[in-house]
Amino acid sequence: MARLELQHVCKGYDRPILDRLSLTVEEGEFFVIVGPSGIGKTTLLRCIAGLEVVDAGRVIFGGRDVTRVPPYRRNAAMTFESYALYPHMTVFENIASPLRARRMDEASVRKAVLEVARLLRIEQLLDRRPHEVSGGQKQRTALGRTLVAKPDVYLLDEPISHLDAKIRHELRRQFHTLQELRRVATVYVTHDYAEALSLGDRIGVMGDGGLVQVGSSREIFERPNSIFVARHLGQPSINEVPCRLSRDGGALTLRSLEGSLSFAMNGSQRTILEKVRGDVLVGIRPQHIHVANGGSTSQIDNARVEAFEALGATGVLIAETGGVSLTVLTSPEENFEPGQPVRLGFDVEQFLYFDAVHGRNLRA
Amino acid sequence: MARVTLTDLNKIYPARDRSVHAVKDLNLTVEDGEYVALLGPSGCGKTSTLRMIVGLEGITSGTIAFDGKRVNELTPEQRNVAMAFETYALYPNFTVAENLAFPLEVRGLGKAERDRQVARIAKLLRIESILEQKPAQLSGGQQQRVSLGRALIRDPAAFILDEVMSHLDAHLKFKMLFELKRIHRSLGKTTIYVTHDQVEALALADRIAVMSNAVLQQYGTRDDLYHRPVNRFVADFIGEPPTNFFAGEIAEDQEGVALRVDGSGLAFRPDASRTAALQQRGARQVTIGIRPQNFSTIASPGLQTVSARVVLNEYLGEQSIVTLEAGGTTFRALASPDLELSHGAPISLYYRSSDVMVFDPESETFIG
Repeated sequence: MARLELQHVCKGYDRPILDRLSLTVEEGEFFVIVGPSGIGKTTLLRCIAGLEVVDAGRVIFGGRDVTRVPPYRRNAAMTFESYALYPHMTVFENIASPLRARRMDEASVRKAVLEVARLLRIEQLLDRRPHEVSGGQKQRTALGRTLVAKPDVYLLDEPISHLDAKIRHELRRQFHTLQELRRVATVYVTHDYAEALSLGDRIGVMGDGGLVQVGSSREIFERPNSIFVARHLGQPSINEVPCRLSRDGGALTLRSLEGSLSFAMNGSQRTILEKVRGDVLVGIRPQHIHVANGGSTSQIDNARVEAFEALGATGVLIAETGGVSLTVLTSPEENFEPGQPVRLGFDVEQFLYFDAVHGRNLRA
Repeated sequence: MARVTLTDLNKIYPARDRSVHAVKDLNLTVEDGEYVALLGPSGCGKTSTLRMIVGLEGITSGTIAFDGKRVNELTPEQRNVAMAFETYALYPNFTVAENLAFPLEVRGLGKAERDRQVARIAKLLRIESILEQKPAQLSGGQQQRVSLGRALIRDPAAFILDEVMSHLDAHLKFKMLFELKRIHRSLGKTTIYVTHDQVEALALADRIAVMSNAVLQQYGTRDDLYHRPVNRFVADFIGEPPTNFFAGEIAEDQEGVALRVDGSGLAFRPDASRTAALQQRGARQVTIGIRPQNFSTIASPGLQTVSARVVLNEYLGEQSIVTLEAGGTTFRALASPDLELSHGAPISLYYRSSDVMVFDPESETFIG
């Protein structure tokens, strides 16, 4: 009953934001939309909720065309980035509000609210008002209000982005385990790629005009269809090295346009690039370069440290080799001083290759 | 440039029903040229501290000194501290160059000198190409740089940066981390950086002052905070994903001292150098802490091991966060994203006994 379909949806203001967007989110599926801020993610959610009128196309809930149905008759529940709680009402009354609107009897309201509150671990806060609880608790209250409505479609707009790291981890885990979300279709919007990768059964990466790639976490991170997708996922960002292919006898080599970095192409890499004409944008994830301490089979080059930062669970090294500056993921326990020589090992098998003009993945 | 010393600093906001003690007996020295972060959750007292240093807030008791000279009674202007804020506060009708030159113009510097200073700062911040543009034409990151430039151009005694990166998106923030460090390296000026974001603090600062509930908890390097947290609060606040804590007790078996997690078969081995300190304690109850990144799925000599089952595997691209269960207790470990771990799969995890932290369950102080 709760499958969500969008068919050729168009929506624009001064520019087209959704351009013939089609998408099916299955019953029980948790679908995450990720993309840079201002790209139109919230607009898409608002079109599904009916808060925006689509310019063209159809919105279908469980086989029923709701394109012309007003939001309050769509049976979709949406959380807003700003929580939008009623300040004068207690946590209990905030959660109960959608049920009150349906004139549900008092005993059923109480039962439903307590059940949701227990699930979200906010039972002890039910008598407080929004200003008396923390940000994470406000968020859970807003989520509780959404869950209690038992809608056909859940629409969640950046529900945890503004919370501190500890609560984000906790709530992410709750999203994974909430059975209620497995009953219906959920569309979850975020700008945080880690959140998207963690939560999405499938993920849609949003670019200009709509979704530029849809796939599982591994598909979009390991096999991005364009440099845009590769760039948006990953911290630190993927290294981009514009290269030229050269064929010398039987050997196939990629040489950087700036500087003198080069990679010999063998095996499957060769197969991808053999028919390519023109320049290639090589994408190297920071975790596919490592500081080599001997005994590695991959390509190794001498490099010089430019900068190093020890972050939380990782360290980030910026090193220069052959005139090219590269970002490398290391252990935070390392320590590198600017100017220090290091040897970099490359997992060449993991490189991504993009069309230098259009940014398409050459493997796709 | 200056060495900044805070001695027995207190801030109390009086109120009719209940006054708020925002900063309690704070003692802190920032050496000349040092980069120090004030880190803590909202409401911990870091912003009040900062406002007292700058002179925007009165001091209830205690002393603030620059290079040993008391500045309590000086106005913000006389203290010559430059501050950059979370919000950019640029003049919308001025070009970038005019925005940068403004603090100098106010102080009556001539045109030639102003131009020279603007050129120097623009080069440092790599914003030479946007000097003739207006703020509205700039990206968030560029506006942040201009705002920073306006603080830097004054050649102050110290820089105070207040949550300057909280508005930037993750990619930009990452770039700015390296930029700020490079700028600090080339200027070598005393900098106090206020943030609630531990990643920023750990990456940038020489030393970090962790505050909670108006009290300074610990003042030390990244290494100190990670490996020798003074209490459970610091161990919990520093580190992402969050540190795993278990209630447990000290026990002995044929292999030596073990830290048994209450109500589960799980036990951790403390470092040999700490067993004496643990055994000397009267009470056997402890809180055990271990960070998710201190677990490895690869066995190697000298590592201890625990067995668990996989509850959840969150693939995050560069790494995976695995939620595990052992004898009714759940905890998290970081693992390689290449591992395909399905729900319920048994797994062996390895750790260094030196990474096991032990706290007193009552006082929450670090034992070893």
